[in-house]
Order: sequence, then C-alpha cells, then structure tokens
Amino acid sequence: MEYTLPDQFNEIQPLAEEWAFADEAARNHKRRASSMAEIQGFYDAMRPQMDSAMTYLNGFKLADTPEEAKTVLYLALMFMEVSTAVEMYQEVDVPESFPAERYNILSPSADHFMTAG
Amino acid sequence: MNAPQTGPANAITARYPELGTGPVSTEAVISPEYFEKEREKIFKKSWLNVGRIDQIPSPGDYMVRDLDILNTSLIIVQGQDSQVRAFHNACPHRGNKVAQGKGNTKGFACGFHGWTFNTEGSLVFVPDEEQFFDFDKGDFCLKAVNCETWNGFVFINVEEQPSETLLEWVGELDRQLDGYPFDDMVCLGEYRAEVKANWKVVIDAFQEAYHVAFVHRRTATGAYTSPETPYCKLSAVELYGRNRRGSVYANPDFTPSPSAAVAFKHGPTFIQAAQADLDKLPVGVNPERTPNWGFDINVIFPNFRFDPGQGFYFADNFLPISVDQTLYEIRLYMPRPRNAGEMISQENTRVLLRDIVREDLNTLETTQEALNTGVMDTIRFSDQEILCRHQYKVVDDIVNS
Repeated sequence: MEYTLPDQFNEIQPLAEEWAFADEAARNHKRRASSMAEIQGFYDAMRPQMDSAMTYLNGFKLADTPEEAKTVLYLALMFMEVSTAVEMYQEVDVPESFPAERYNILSPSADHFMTAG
Repeated sequence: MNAPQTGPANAITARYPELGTGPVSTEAVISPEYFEKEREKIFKKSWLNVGRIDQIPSPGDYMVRDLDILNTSLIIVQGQDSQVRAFHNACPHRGNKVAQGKGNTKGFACGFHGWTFNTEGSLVFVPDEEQFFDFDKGDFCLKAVNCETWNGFVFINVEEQPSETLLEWVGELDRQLDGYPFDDMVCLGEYRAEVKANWKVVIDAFQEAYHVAFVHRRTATGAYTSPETPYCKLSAVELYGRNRRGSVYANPDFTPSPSAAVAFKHGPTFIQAAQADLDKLPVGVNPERTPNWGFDINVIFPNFRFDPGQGFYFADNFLPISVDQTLYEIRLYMPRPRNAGEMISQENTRVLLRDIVREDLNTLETTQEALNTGVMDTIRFSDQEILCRHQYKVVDDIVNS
C-alpha cells in the first residue's frame, strides 16, 4: 500500500496510514473500532477536501488509477462510511440496530471496479 | 364478511374485498406444523429466486445454494454452452456433495470416489469404471432442477412438472417492469444475516412504509417524510395474484446532509433521486410519475423482493431455515461506476442503505419472541400494511387448500 498522497492533499496526509481501506467491511470495522472523537476528527479533516478529491480522481480512467490516487479514493470512501455516524447519530454505530457482528458485509472491493472490464 | 364500521377514506384494502379487514392469526408465524405445510405446499412447488446472472457471469461459473426449506443443496452453474442450469448437489453414486462455495470450473469432481461431471451435468469420468455391473455413464447425470431466468434473475423450482412457467409465475409484474435497466447495473453491495424470526415476519418489515417515521427516525425522517406526510406512505398499490407492489413516498425538498450533498453532485442517491427522467421509467415503476417518490416495493411470491428506484435497485431473498429462523440476503445494484467520483457518490447510498436495513432487522427478533409466547394470537394490519395482509392471505389459502 502506497500511503504518500499527492502534494495537493498534504493536509490529509496524516490520515492516510490509518484510515485508507479498499473494502467496505474493513472500513466499517475501522469505524466501529474508533471512538466518536476520532471519527469526528477524520470527518472534519476530510470534508473540506471532498470536492477537490473527486475532481482530482475523475482525472483518471478507473482502470489507470495510480496507487497514490487510490489512497485518496479509499479516504473519500471512508468519509462516506463515517458520514452517518457524524451527521445522523453522533454515535459510532447506528443505534437500535441489528448487531453489526451478525450482519455480514460481502460487498465487492473498490479495487474490483478499478480493474479492466 | 361484515364491512368495517370505521377506517380510512378511500381505503386501498376496499379494492380487494377478498382480503377482509379483520385480524390475522399468528399461527402462520409461530406454528411448526404450519411451517411444514408451507414447505410442502409452497416452497416445493414455487419458483424461488436463488440469485442473479451477474453472480455467475461466465461459462463455468457456479455457486452452491443451500436451501434449508427444500432440505437440499443446489449447484447453479453457467454451462460451457452459456445456459444457466441448476442441479442437486449430490453425486448420483453415493450422494456426496460435488461442489462447495463458488468459483469457475470445467466440471465437478466428487471428492469421495472421483466421479466427474461436466458443467452441463453429464457424468464424464468414473475411475475404475469396469468394476461396476451393467453400467452406463449416461444413466448417472447430476439430477437437474427446473431453472429459468427473468430479467437476469435466476429462479429454480424443484417440482417435477411446475404448474406454471417462470414468466407465468411473474405474471403481470413482467409487463410492468418491461424496460427497467437491470442489465446496466452492477452489484455494489451484498449483505447476509441470519435472523431469528419467521420468514413472513422478516418480509413484513420490508413491505410497508408505516414504520419509517419510527424505526428510521434517525436515518430517513425528512427524506421519506414531510410536514404534509408525517408518516411515510405506500401508494399505487397493486396486487397481481400472488405478487404485489407499492410505491414508497419521499420528499424531494428535503435538505440533504453534507455528505449526501457531495454525493449528489456526482449521481443520484438513496435520498435524492434524479427527477428529470420519470417519464422514461417502465409503466410499473413509479406509475403515478410523482416527484414524491423514493422507490418501489415489488414482491414475487413467495420470498423474493426487488425495489427499483432512480439509479439504484436492491433485491432481497428471505430464505426460511425453520419456523422462526430466516436467512436474509440483500444486494444493492447501481450503474457501473464510470469514474471515482461516481464510486464515492454511490458509497453514500451503500452506507446509508446498510444502516437503514440494520434498523429494519432490529425489531424482528423481539417481535418473534413475543409472538412465540402466545401473548397475542392475532395481528392487526392497517390499510397501509395491505401488502403484509395480502401475504398472509395468499399463504393461508395455499396452506389450507
């Protein structure tokens, strides 16, 4: 995994090593293993970067996404992962819900859509 | 049957007098004897969805589906001739399973004695074959199960001679959905959970909108309710024989969260659909062409639901394990992302839908526990819960036939 982000994303470079995951299940696990303060900190750091991240990433064909850009993508996906915690619950996980450990996430990885075909 | 003395004006249920308006017995969701009748009279005689063609997209792709309700394990495989078939996962020699999980293969080799079948089910190799008496390999194919597809959804039927084709089984819904871009979408989210509740109790949680203002008060209130419609409503309800549909209200004037607003710049989301092309939808998708629309609920009897929206649909299987246990599976489909911006946008829908479904499932196990005690012996459905009422009527008519 390449954790060095392009220069324009220097502000979120410190997040890269801990918060970048290709899989939904891994992102959800990271969310549930974090404190609300950690999640809020990640969200607040990412939010002002989202528009420029999506513009930057759209400059590549999916199949040709370079490694450093993939890390930006994983961080942006993680922003969406934690968004409900911050915007709707102010709790790490959805309250009054079916137990997360019994709700199996089998979704395809982001990398699946960055291969040709 | 006596007409109700009070009730809503213009009741949907009044259009279907055969349903009645009275209470429904809980026997249907707690009785092991009732469940056994469902197994024999419904599940062993129905077209059952087992997935979608995109799960086995290439020749040689297969998946094993263990269906407790049929007491069997099935192999669903795309043959080298591109035809999708289903077989009992049992070697006709001594009965051992010949396939596990999923994958791509040129054939299935039984791990017990090495009998090998091709992807069309024919026995092609038997080790030490001359040791058998009066033996003809042609007599020992994998036992086939009726298998047909509709709009890419794969269905099986274990009855020797099904009373209807799959197209007849889908019935009027086929014409209603004609033209929906199922094939242009890919599976972006897939989830599975074993829920300790009767399969009908689980479906019920997903075929009415009355619960939205309460169960989803954190996730969907505002997007699926409004000051004028404080309780999310089901409209355009149609009952097509055993099958059923309805449209779920949404509020397009809702102010989205910051993340949803970011997402919507790059594509439709679960709470904010594109409003531009409503006229291009199939006649049976948002048939009222209302902007106050989130998605539709369609249930193909007995246990398959698919809910089309604008730019997404999800499909669920409710697979009975026992009278009070169900394997629940849901898959979310959206257009194949053309760029990373669309992927990130779609992630907003994927995460929100996942949280919402976990809310939906949360009430079911305590519900079933309460029903199992017998403390209540009937369920009272409102006009807004007509799809639930319809389910019990259709099931009961068959179980008691």
